[in-house]
Amino acid sequence: MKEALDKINNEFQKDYESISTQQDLEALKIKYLGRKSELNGLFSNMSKLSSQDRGLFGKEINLLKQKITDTINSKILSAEKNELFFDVTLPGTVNTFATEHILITVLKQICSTFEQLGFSVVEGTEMEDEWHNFSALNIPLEHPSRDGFDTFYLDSGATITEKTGQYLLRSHTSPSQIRMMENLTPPIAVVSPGRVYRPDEVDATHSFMFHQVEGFVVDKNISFANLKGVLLKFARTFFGPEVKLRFRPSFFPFTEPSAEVDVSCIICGGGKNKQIKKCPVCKDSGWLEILGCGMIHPNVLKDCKIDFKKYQGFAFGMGVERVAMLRYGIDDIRLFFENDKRFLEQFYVE
Amino acid sequence: MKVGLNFIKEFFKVNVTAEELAEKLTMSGLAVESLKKEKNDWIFDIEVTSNRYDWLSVMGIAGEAAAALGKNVAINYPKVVSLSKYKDKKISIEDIKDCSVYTGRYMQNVRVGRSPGWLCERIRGCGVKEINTVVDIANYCMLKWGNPLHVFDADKIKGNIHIRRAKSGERFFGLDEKERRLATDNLVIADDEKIIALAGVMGAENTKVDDKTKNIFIEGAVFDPVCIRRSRRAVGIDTDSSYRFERKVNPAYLQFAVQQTVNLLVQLCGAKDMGACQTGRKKSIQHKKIILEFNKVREYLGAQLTDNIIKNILAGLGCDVKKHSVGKINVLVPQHRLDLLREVDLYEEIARFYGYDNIPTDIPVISNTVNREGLYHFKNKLRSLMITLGFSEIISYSFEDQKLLEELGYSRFVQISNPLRSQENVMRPTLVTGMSKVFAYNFNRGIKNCKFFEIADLYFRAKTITEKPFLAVGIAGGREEFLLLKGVFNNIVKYFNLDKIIFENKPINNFTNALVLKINGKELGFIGKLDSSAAKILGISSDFFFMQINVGLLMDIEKTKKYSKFTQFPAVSRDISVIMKNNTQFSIVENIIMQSGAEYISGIEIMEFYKGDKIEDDALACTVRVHYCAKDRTLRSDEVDHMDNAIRDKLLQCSDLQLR
Repeated sequence: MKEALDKINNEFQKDYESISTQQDLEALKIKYLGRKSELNGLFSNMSKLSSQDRGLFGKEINLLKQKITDTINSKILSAEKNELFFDVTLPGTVNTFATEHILITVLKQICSTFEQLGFSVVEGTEMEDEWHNFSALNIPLEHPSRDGFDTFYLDSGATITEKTGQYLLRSHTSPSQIRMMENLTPPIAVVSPGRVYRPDEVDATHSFMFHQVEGFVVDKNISFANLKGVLLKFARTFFGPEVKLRFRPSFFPFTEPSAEVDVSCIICGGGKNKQIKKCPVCKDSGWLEILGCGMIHPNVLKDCKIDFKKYQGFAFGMGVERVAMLRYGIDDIRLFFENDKRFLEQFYVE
Repeated sequence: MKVGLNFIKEFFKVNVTAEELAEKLTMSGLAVESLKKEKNDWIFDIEVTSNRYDWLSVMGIAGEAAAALGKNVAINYPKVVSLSKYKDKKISIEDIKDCSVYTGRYMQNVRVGRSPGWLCERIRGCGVKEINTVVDIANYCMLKWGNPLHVFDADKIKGNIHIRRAKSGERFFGLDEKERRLATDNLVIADDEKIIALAGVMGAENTKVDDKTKNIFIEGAVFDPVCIRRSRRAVGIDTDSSYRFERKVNPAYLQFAVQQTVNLLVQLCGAKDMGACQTGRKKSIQHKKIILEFNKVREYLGAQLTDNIIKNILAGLGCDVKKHSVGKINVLVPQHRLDLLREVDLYEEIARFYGYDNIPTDIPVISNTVNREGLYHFKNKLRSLMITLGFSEIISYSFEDQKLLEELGYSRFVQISNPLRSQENVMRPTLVTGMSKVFAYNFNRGIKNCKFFEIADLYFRAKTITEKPFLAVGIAGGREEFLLLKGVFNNIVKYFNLDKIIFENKPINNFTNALVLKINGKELGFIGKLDSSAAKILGISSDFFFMQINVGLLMDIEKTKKYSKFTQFPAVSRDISVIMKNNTQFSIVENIIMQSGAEYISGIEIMEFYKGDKIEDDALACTVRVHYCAKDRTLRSDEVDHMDNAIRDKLLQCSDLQLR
């Protein structure tokens, strides 16, 4: 038996030195460690030995087997090392991901905040008439209050009635409020987002096309305190739980009382962040104007055939570009509509 | 409106700093846009909302400031002296609707010079340039009372005064030294020979007060707001005077403004008052009486205001408050507040002076009868699918250049009557122009690998005008991008669980290799490669593929999804290599396979295309893998072979096909 083991060992050493390829190594492995190998054959012969010899000899065989296995494995390992050399310092693959337009993201976030409060989202049309864009909103013809709403008029070829007046591109999203109130009975709670148009020369803060979100509620017992509550809830969901709101009296023909609403500066925290001196966003006033609102004027309810003695409501409107610019520190409104890939890809759906 | 703190101090003692006053004004609705120190005065620049004409006078602003600080203003109304009637000039008003009252004051021996320092400071603080004593005094009184006045050199007026509409084509040479042609929209002041002022807007050069002026004629009038608005818009001028007339002026203060002007002219210029003349009638102001219910105020504002707080606020505003009945009061509004007409107007005043910030916040229970609108949410679903498929969203302008669209063969547009630029004069009927401009923009900056989509309305003009939402998808690159778009469309079909789609090979204007997408006989949209002439017009240098889909139609045919069982048994496949000769389309091969009666075909897959040796130029070799599967068992090999052979036989029957 001892001779047999020595023989196997010697042959293995010889064979091992002569191998040159991976196949040779595989063959070597089969020859010396395979099921039909000589070494395995020795095990079957062990039954002929005495129990003492069997123990001793079994140990010898296993030792040799282990030695051969280790030798082959070390060879395989070094081979693998060579073959599978991989440079992990190479840069990662550049994966591009598609992005939603940042204005749409912001618009959707505004809408969904109000949806969570029980509002429905309804989009109006961009092509409107004078009745819905002005008259029904208590903005009379030839009145200075129209000056704030310079408007693109449409040459539509469609018939114009005295009530509807000329066709135009809506200069705000409030006409959808009128359309809703004309067609529905209260209680109503709607937000209406979309494109609006005004003939402003384009510069860093003006665009002849931009986006607004309009919202309104009509029901019994709706109060100015309710308006404040809903907008505060919105601001805290949208800008962060610590923001404050400031309501300033203002004038809109379609609301009474009317207010402009400022949010405490989201950059310097309304002066709270001591590290920011001379806040470039709020100009150290601590406040940023974000929306206009008020209690719906009884004339507007009346024009929509809603009993203003029974129902009252509030309405608000905000510019999506402004909110997006404040939130992301975007300094030029034209970036939204140039669609430079380097701009678009900075924002992803949050 | 600009105003200096020293001017405000003429009306009451201001005991807070300028900054504190600015804050108070802002929070009561007079938004102070800037506050600047100038010499020994503070200049407030205040944004005046269009409902408050009374804030276009320093008196009005002072009144508001005093009320906000809980103080009262002391107004020195000048004693109106009615001297003997000035009879030399007759005043005639053509239409009393244009001018309800016109008063004139004749003064002699005026010394025109430079105004004293205090007067210059007052008007300069309001942003008005000093000119000479006479003009400066008139401006000072306008700023103080809110009523614009005009002073003529009386010796340059020939005959009587006529307030009339201009004749079409009449010329007017204004104080701004510009000549304008007038039309019937313009109201003018004329003497017997010529136009001497564009009423309510600007005086004429021909009757200007200058250093040589001796005798003057002071005009004080109330013109119709709409009339003045139309007139000044027609000639494109906006002056301090027209701005005030357009927003209404208070006739009650007219006599004070005129009288103070006269008094100051006597005092500062040594002029002699020679009497007044007047035509028309000062409309008597009806003091509006509003019945206010305390509980209604509390309910509307949602604030627990006591009856006393309400009464005190109204009294502070100058209202006369008397008890009406239990829980109600009669409120008589002051004569300078013509804007207070109904209860809600008083609610606002109460809220303003109580402080908007003092009203509590209270989230209501929102009830709603309005249904969730499908379109908005459908568009968002479509949007997220496109993003998942690797396309980024763009937003392009809804406007387009009519000329460009006509070059591309479009006609019938919704036109914009007053476009800013001719390149943006119609509403777009296609999304391809906006999309290709974005590609061109990015290409020109060396940005490649663009895959974009946009969801936006298109605008159509037929008998009526309509707008409908569409999806546009664009990609530039090799011809395989066409198949990418086709694949995207298949994803859309799958995502919205649509019925079978038919791709129809049909020419589309501006596109080559176009496919029209049809479902249930309706055209849903198209896919195509922009043809070279359109690409040239749109400034695109590489191959550009485009898809446009009607989103409204897509939404109408969306079907809800249900779970459908899939087989647990493995599929078996067989490959078929076929040579398609004479430019035979793949759809022929596909149809033969699918219609070959092999009921167990679960799908086909193209493994490779081959073109090369042994294949003719107008032929293409293709290896198709056909998958077979049964719902209830594993198919036997011989069954599959049988079906495979049947397909091969069918393919061979077509003379343009050859098996390899």
